[in-house]
Amino acid sequence: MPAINNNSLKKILIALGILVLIIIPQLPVSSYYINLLSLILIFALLAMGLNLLVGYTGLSSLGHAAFFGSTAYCAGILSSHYGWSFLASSAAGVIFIILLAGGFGLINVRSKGVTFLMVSIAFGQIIWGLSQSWSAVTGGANGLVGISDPSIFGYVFASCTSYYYIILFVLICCSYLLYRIINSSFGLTLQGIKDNSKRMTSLGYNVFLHSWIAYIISGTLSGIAGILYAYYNNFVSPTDVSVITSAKVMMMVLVGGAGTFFGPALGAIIIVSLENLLSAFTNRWVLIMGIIYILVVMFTPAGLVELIKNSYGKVFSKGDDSNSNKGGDSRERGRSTVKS
Amino acid sequence: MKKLVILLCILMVISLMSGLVSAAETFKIGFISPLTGTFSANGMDMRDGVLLYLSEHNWKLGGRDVELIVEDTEGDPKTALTKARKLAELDKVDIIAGPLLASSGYAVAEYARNNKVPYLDNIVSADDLTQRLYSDYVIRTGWTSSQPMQPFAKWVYDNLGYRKVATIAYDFAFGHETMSGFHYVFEELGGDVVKKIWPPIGTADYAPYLAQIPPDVDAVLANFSGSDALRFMKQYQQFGFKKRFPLIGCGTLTDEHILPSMGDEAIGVISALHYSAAIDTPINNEFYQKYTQRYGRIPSYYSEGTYTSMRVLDVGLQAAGGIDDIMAFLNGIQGKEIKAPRGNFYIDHYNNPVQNIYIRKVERVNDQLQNTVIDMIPEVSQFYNYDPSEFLKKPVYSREFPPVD
Repeated sequence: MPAINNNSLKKILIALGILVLIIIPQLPVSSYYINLLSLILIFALLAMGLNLLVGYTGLSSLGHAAFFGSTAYCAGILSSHYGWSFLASSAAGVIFIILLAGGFGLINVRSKGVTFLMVSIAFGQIIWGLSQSWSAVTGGANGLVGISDPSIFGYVFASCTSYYYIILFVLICCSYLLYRIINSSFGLTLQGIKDNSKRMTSLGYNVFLHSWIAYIISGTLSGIAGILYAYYNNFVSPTDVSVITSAKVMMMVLVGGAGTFFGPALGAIIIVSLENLLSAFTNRWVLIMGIIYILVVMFTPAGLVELIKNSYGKVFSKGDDSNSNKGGDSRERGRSTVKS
Repeated sequence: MKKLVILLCILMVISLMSGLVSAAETFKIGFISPLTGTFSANGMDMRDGVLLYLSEHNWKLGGRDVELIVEDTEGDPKTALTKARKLAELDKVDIIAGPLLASSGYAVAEYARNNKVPYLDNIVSADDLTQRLYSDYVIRTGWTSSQPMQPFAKWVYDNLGYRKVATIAYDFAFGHETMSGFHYVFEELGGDVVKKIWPPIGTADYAPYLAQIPPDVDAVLANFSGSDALRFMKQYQQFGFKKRFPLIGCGTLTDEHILPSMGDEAIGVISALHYSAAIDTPINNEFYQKYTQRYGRIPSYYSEGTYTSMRVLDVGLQAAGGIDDIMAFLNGIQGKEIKAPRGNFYIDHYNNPVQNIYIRKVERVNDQLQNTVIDMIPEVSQFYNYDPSEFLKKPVYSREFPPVD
């Protein structure tokens, strides 16, 4: 019984969340907050894409900013140099990132653990180096300028509110898709790979193929976030491709909770807003961010979503077995999230 | 653990609310510069220049009370853009001032142009902001990268007699524009730039780049800044290049933000810029004294740049009362003589200063390194001696233009 309750409650909460996101721009708030919210949604999509690899497949990548940034460059270059429309350049960006992630994945997925991490950094640095030194195309360290405002069939999304809705729409579509993927047999296989890839191999699963496809999906979601980002800022620079951006997204996943569906989005909300709001008060904001990261890792290594879930479990379910089970192994945690 | 979440929530709510409070009728300046990261030393010099001018003038410009909001860009163009947006849309500042790097400047200027937000560019020297990408909303009080280098080419040709030069500088707009500005004029006079070498920002070891210098050049022209300049100068001497090829450069190579950290390797380097802390005029001596007293270090061109940008704002506000009518404001500053530690100057119709360029030589005076002024070229425009419309038909100075033949 409590399982059904939980499920419907979750649906209500999600519907409410979407409703709030739709209503916010209609309230009399400064356009700055709508822009900030757009940025949060973009990074949420990027972090959710990374989470498919880190949280569900067990492959920690520090090269996702390369997928994010290179797709942003691809769409941006087509828009600024060749005058392609928003839809055309976006479509080209998606094809580009599928090919790129497919190519990188063939090599990267062969490795595991620390080696996987190192290879992903190496790929990221290649893209970063290209963006920095191929200045005739990317604008070099000056960054790429001249990306037009997005327009669909003649309607120009010049105001931040109208573009915000595009971002929201894309995010909802991608989240739904991701949700279906994670809950499919394919998604469950990925989690099996995360827990014990040798056993999955002996059970007859093609571990390499599964991981490779997960790598491509993950890269593509990051790439889509990159396209949204290019049109959001009308500007792309090499720092968007750098390993620092990759690390920031990784922090979003870890702070929110790797292997939980909404964790990375929560991480994006917290990190992007803190970064922008704290720095208005003090020059020492980098230090404060560092302390927050340490606190989260010390006290809630499984991420904030797990923390909320546990306290929720204590208050409402009064010791419901699966939710308040802090000491469960990672597989158990992963499963309970997916099912509930 | 729960407390942590609550704490975070409170923090966020507080920060959200603070944005809603705003004072009326004061003139708001949103200032952005890198206060953390690699370029924080330059960024702090920029901030302190602004603070010195405002405190000297009781926080009033053109008779209006001034509120200053400072934001950190981390030396990252996307952060600079996010902060510029925040200042314009949330804090509703009247003008955005700063940042440091060309990449940030391009991003902020594009935002300013598209959204009609006045942008006071006091340091970013990317040529095109006041040339091919000119906008009424971009007001530059600093310089263009090629501005000191074009007359410097002539000065070097006439006074030092060099005919064959190799260049080594940053591989981004700032490096490209300074070197190529020199290159263009130098070759027009009959000199020859035989090789241009481009190490990236943050190069730890310059040996592989120095090895590319051709053995038959008369001198080497360089441009770096910050810790890169320090490392470059050290290695240039260590590898014995200083004895073989005299070093000349753009002024930032030996700028005062880094000069006190240099040693004998800097002595004798000749460079060109629109400022030197060692300019011996009453107005600069006074500025130098006040700045050193207040902050305990020598003013750099960054400090002077932002200090003087406040003076320009002061003059404009006195004439126009505000900046909402941008044309009235521009009329108030264009062509007017502006008093400054760097020497009096005026702003041209492309919103860039026409100013003195100083030829400086590093010397040790009273056990301290300084950029002694050895010559001065008065009233140099960003177009040098060329006709502006002819000049603008050329492509912007870059890595490829003019080409090395």
